[in-house]
Amino acid sequence: MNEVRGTWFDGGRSKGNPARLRWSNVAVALITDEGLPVSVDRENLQVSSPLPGAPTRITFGGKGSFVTGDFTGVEKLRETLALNPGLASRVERHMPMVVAAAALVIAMLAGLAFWGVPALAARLALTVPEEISAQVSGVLMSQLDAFLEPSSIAPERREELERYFLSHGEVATIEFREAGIFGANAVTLGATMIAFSDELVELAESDEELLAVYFHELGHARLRHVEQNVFRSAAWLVMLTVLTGDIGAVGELLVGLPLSVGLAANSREFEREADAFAVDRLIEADLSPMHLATILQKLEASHLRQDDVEDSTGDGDNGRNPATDSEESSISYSPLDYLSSHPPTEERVAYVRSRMAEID
Amino acid sequence: MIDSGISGSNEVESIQKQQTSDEPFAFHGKGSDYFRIWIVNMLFTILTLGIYSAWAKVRTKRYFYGNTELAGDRFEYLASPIAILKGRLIAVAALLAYSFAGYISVAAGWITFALLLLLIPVFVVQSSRFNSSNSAWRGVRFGFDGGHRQAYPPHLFWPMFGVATFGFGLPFAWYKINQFQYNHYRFGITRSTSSATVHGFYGIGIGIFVSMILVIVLAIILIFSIGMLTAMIGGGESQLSAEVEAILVVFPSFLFVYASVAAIYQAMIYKLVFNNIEIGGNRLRSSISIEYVFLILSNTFLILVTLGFFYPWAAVRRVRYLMANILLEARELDSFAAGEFDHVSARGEEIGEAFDLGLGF
Ligand SMILES: [Zn+2]
Repeated sequence: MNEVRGTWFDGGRSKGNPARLRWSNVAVALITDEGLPVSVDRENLQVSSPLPGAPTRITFGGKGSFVTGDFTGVEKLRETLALNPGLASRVERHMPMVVAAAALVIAMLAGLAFWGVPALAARLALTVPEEISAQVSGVLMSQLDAFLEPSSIAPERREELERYFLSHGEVATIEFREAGIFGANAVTLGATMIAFSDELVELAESDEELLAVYFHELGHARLRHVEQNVFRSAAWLVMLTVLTGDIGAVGELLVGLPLSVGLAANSREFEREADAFAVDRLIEADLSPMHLATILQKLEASHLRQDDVEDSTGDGDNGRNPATDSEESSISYSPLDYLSSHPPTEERVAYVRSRMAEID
Repeated sequence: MIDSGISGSNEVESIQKQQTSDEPFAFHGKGSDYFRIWIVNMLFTILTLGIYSAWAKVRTKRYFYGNTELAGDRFEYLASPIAILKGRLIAVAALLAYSFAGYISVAAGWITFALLLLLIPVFVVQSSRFNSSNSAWRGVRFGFDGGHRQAYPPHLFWPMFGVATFGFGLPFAWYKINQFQYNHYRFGITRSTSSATVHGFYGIGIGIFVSMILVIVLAIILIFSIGMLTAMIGGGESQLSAEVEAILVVFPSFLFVYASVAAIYQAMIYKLVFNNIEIGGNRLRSSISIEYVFLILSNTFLILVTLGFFYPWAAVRRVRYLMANILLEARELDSFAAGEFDHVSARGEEIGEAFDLGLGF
């Protein structure tokens, strides 16, 4: 006959009764110190899974519960009755397994962040039908239109550019808008829509430079970058909610930081892909890839000039709405730039030059 | 001091009952123990693509409740993981709907947002019911009797009023929330009551406003002095120094302001709420002080430099401090009667959690 001491709570009143649980291979009995036997049904006996420092709770199918802090006693009970303490508890108690768990968690989180989520997003992005993409583009454009004015470029010029662009690669819609303080810029809004600002059209000194920008945007559109971003942020949102369910506000903020840096890094990778796409297309069209480098440098210069008057505008927007892919070039030497969505212009120009060297 | 809440017994008994004894709360958890639980929870959650998160939550809560002691007995968390899993699946579906609706059409985005806003009071009530009815002490469960309809003014109208009045109405909203929540909790069949006044909450409002200004000024001084220091050492205008500046100065300063203000707010709310709760003639008393703010700041710092791995120790330190600073002025703890125990769905709680509506009790 084995026994553990503990407290019996009848589940009716908040007063504990010191008691003993006794068991053998065939029977289980509970006796309070006052001598009251409690009827115990061995069939319904349940023992809570062990947790360090916390008492074990044993119930018998009724309202009452027997609570004990005697761990060794409960271990014996588990042995006799062949009760499983649960996988979690077994792993927790085994130090090498805990260390392995920590290493696995780090590896899997990194794997998800760098490979799992991007791969899943890329897969899903390709399944989005064009009609849905067009719907999304429409919504994003209407949101942007709150800050933009209709284009003041002559309709003939716009049509000319549109024909020129489309003769080099199809996209459903090309839009022009006057961007005001947002300055020279171009955005891809899903697989079917590319928008240019009047300021960009004016900034370019040749149509080839504009075509270079168009090819870059077409790269975003064809590679479904906007759709990928939507799926990536949704996947992150779900993952964080599930993983940090118990962490609390400060924890979420801490987990949120790598997330936003990660999303910015994602977009830097998209920019590189779009640049590569643009250079390929320029070469195909028998044009110099340098057109892209030229317009990128002009964009940077124009935003630096504008910065003296206006505060930087684009970066904050990217965190809030990961879907739009604005072509604002990044300006070096500002602390916020580290978190910027675009690689530094120097780096992008250097890439174009390296591709030039390949051709020669 | 002690009001005559109890009647109908003889004189000797009533004199005995009016004597109060101080029963401290105590938390016995250890950071190293919780780390093991936490990391294994994380592992299983990832391996099961999130399914295990419901079991993980129950295990965590059981650990924290089971290590919290009052008057010699521990608390218990009794929720079923399956119920939590059901809620969590619905929450994830709602979360996905919410994040995609805005892309399909502007109207759909707004409708989803409005719908979720309208459901907040329902989630809060479900969450309070679920959490309390699954918490127990000495074999008697807690409970929550607030109704869905009653929850709309405190949890929707008054907070909106607070925002519309540029924050001036917010303390009143806090007061309304406190009134609703802490007058509807029960232990067994005994209702809790709150005597917190609207003045108390306006005191917190002013306190938060003043401390926010102080903390922001402090952060600005910090940024400047660090900036001066790095300029003197000769960081210059290189790209690297800009990145270093972002990582070492801007983000930590923001975090410092956020964590300080959040901790000050929490400390003041806890103190006001706890000091005014009464249940069956027993009163809570709290001695939470500015120490709590330093504790949260050091926790935040350590979580940051360990890339999150200090979290289990931080959580244990926080609860240990809170429990060490709450006391029950107990008059009678043996005669609480258990109520009819009601099964509640986990939906409200888990959806509420997904949208970060955590109400600490
Ligand atoms: Zn781009």
